[in-house]
Amino acid sequence: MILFCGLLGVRKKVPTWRLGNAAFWLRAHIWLGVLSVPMILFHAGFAVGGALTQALMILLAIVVASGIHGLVLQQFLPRLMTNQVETETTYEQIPHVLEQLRAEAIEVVESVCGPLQAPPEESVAPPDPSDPSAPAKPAAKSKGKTAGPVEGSGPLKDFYLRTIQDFMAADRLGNQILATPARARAHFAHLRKILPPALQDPAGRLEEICNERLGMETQIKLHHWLHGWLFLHAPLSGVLILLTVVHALMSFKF
Amino acid sequence: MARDRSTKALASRIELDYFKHPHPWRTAMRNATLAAPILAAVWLLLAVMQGDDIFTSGPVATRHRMFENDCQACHEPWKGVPDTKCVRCHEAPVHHGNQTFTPDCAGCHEEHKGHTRLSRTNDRHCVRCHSDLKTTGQPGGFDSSIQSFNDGHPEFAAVRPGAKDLAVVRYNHLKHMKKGLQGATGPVTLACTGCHFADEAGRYMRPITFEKQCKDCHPLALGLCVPGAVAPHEVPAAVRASVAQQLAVSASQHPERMQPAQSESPTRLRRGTASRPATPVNTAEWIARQAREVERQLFGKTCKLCHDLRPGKGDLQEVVPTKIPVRWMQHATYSHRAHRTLTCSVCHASAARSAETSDVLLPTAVTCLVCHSAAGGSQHGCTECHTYHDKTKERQADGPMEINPVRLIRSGNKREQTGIGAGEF
Amino acid sequence: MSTEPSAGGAPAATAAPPEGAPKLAGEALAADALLAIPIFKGISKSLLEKNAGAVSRRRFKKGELICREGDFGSTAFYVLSGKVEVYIATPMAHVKTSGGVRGFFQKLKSFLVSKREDPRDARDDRLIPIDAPIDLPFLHPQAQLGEGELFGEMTCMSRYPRSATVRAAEDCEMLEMLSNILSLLLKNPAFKDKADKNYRERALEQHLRSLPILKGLSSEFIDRLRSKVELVRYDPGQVIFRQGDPSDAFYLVRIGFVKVSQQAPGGDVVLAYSERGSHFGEMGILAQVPRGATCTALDHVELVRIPADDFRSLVNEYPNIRQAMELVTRARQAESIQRLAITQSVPLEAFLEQGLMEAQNLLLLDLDRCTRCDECVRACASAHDGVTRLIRVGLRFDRYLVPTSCRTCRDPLCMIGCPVGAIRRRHSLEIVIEDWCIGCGVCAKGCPYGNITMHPFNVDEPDPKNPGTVKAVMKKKATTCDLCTEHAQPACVAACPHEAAMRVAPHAFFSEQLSTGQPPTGRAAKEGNPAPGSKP
Repeated sequence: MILFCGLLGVRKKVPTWRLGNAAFWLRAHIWLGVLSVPMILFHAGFAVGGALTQALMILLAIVVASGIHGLVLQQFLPRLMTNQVETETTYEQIPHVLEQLRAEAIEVVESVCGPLQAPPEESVAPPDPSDPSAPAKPAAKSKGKTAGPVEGSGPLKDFYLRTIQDFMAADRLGNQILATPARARAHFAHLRKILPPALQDPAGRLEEICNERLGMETQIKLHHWLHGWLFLHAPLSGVLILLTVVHALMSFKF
Repeated sequence: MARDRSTKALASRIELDYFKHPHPWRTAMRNATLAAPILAAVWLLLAVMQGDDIFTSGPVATRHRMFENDCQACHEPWKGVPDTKCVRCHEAPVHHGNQTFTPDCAGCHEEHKGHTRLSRTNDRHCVRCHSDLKTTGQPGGFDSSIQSFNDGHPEFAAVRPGAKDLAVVRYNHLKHMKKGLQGATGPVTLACTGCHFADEAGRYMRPITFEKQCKDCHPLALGLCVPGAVAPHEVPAAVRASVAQQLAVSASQHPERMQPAQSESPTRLRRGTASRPATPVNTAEWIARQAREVERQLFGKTCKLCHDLRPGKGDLQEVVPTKIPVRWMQHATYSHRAHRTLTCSVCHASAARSAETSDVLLPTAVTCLVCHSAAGGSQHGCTECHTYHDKTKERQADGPMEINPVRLIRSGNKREQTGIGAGEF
Repeated sequence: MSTEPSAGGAPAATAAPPEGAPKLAGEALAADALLAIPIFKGISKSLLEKNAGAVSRRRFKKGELICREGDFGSTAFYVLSGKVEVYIATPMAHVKTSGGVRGFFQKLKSFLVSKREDPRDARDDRLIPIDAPIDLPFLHPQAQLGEGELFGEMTCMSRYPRSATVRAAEDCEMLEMLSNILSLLLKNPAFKDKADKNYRERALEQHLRSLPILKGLSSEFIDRLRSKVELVRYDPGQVIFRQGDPSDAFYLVRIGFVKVSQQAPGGDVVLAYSERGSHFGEMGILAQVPRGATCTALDHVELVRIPADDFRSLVNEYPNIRQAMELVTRARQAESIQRLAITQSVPLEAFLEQGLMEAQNLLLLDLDRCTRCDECVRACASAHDGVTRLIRVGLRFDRYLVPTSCRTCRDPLCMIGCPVGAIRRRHSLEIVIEDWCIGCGVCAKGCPYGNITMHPFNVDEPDPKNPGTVKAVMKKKATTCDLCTEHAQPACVAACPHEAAMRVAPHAFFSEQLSTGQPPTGRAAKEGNPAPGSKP
């Protein structure tokens, strides 16, 4: 039975692919994990024993509880994310994509308002020079309009400088005006009302960019919910395995 | 002009090798997963260095508390708990000479289960052999397939069909338990506990003795010659001596008793027997005559009410030894005290109907099983009745252990802070 | 300086057809001077004068680089004198990660999972088709061209990247020309005769033998064919033959791409793109039935035409060729029947809109299950030498994400234009990019879904400045999903712990949605763009 516990640990160490697919492993992991609770309880005879075995019991409880917690979260959070975040991207690349969104926003504004006074240098230059295609694309499309400020573009520029710039640059959205979907919608609706027809399209694009930024925030939050429990589960599993081995060794010794 | 949100445009925003750069989230995860076991290892090391006994799997049995913090007292590294450690204090005589398998002490006596009695081992240790009993040499005469008290346990030998109480004594429970018997001071109704008393430990019933249980109603009266005098419940020679002596005392103190006229007062024992007209000659002759008369009465009748007599040395008969069994079930233990809440007749129901000495009035296993089974709810393990080691062979006193103050101080400090303090030693 | 010819042509290539002819390096030639060259004989002087400046004479010293593989250009070269060396310098490899500690763990992982090297078809006698009269052998991709030979035709006429590097093997003199001159030249009977002759003498045999099914041909037979074969040219969009036409000839593709398509309800379905070195038209001849498909020139195409009678006598004479031919024919037939069946069984409109109809094998991520753990990408990278071929972004269809990963289109646009024929379909329809990819990126541009990615990697290349030494050069190569055909399951699917990733045949998978004729949700059109403010 001690070996059983160890097996659970060793199994997780094996690289997941090609030794049966990962879904099989996950299923086995869940069932064996749940099964290990009664097994270990019987092994212990429903007594907690000394300090080490007490620690083992508590660890097992936390690990199993966090695992079940994660399992439950995984049942509905993906759907939530699918529904709430339309413009999902790869989580690890959010900062990178965000840079490009910033650049794109500046591009949109500059295409109709003329160059901004002093755009922060780092947000204009795409961070990765080897991948200039994305920011370059909108530029190519709007090349014809770069000549100078389009008439009536003042409000757009103001709105960008006062609101969007901070919104795009902020690490945490906090209580930014655009961080609330309803308020953002109202602001953009207002902006559209006061802009000439020629500028409706850039405004729409800006709104999309801001929506995408907002989606990223939701995505980050959900992603943390979806994977945060692992911070408890994985390290404590490591401890559990270590202590189980010690426990096994000591019980063989004595 | 819409923003380009084709798959291609979306994909081009992603760095192709992003997964090779450690993301803070993953880095943190990896670090935590590495750090946590290291912290645990540090905790282990500290605990071990401080001498904390963190590896114990539970408190030891009460009787072993003195070794609670001294693993080496019982454990030897990589050898477990060798028997040699146990037999320093416990003799643990072998169960049967012809057994094929002798387990380790620790094989049956499971320690670190808290304050339990180690002698109460689990049935599986017994059933390991007794479910399919093999012996070396002579078979032991025991049933070879016993799974539990409920399954395969034979009927008690004492109450198997045909078993008899072979005691050489006459006793009729039926008669004695009638209502309104004539007692020494009037009518009495006897109860079980009027005669049967448990021993000090409350386990077994003490043997019935004449002095305690019979004498009041069945005095060994000498008769009219010495009114109120009784013979002792002794061997016939002692009775004869006692009778002679009492007659002599009576003759010297009450010469009038030698008058024939005074021999009229009837006694219960002499009712209906005609006394011959006495012609007192002298004291010695009177004593001799009376002694013959009394002996005839006692040996011919009074003793034989219960005992068998057989010819002995000279003219005296001797009493056939009664051989009343003191303990019936030699392979088991029993406690009447533990069962004191029960009416006697619940188990000994046949006592009220028994007219013969040879009736065995013990309950059968079925009676026990009413309570002592899984259905009955009471304990039904082997060790409830049986012991593995012969306790009579245990050491009386003077074992090898000494009190080690240091050990106990540590134990006291740790367990109950203010309990057994260092000051007590 | 060495890359000058192509550098001169590059801007024109990316922007517009070369109307205002770019300035060519070297000594511009006047019409008179041109007419002095035999191959220009017969072209009217006024025409040449109109195109003045579109041709120049250039001299290269021994060892000088004439053009480099993967570069864009717009000129063709005609060797007047001397010899040039044609080779592919890009190492025969596909993209791998570099070593280091991580690399070691990757290797360990690969070892544990018994992963083999990314396999390619091991056929060492393969020929790499290039933009010249000859092909390069796979094992040693190097050849020489001499006087009177023309190379860079495809680059010049159809703007393909240079397919090989050319270096002067000795001091030589060449004519560099733009497409207007080249087309004049190609139409000129004097040149055409010479080119035909050249081809017959030099390239025909190699070309025929390069086809696996024609390998067993005897030299006498090729001699007999020599006089019969004809080089024919087609302009972009020109139909070579139509479905239902009489089967009168067998074709080998020498230059360009030919689209083989069949009529199907809802529009033509592309069966194949025949590139240089492939053949078509045998089916009707063998079965003696009319053409079963329409063949159209996609760009400037030059074909080797073998008349039906000669072809028939060829196959009759070589039963093993006939057998091989029939085998190919049957496979092609089965494939096209299967494809037509697929297209006929689903309502086309709804699916075509999504761009998913094109797909034969689509990677989907069920977003209701996917926890975004990124295991699929990591698995893909670990299965492909540390280079992922899957990017976990894309558009959504229903509750599925269609990530960036090859969908083995029915009409593989990526296969059009590879200057070295390195991208092709393999047996189970997966698209594979051969090791000799020169990294020009045409396929990546061609894929409408961004599923081919250009991965940079380091290689050591001989340093032209300091001969004898090597320097690290950043090169790019194209990669695309190979469906992990060597395994039972694609790595991404196998690695998904939540059974969210799957490879499906979209028409079957979405059959329920398709039967209703509507995509279940409107939120994932191909060029989809959620209406601004439609959803927070």
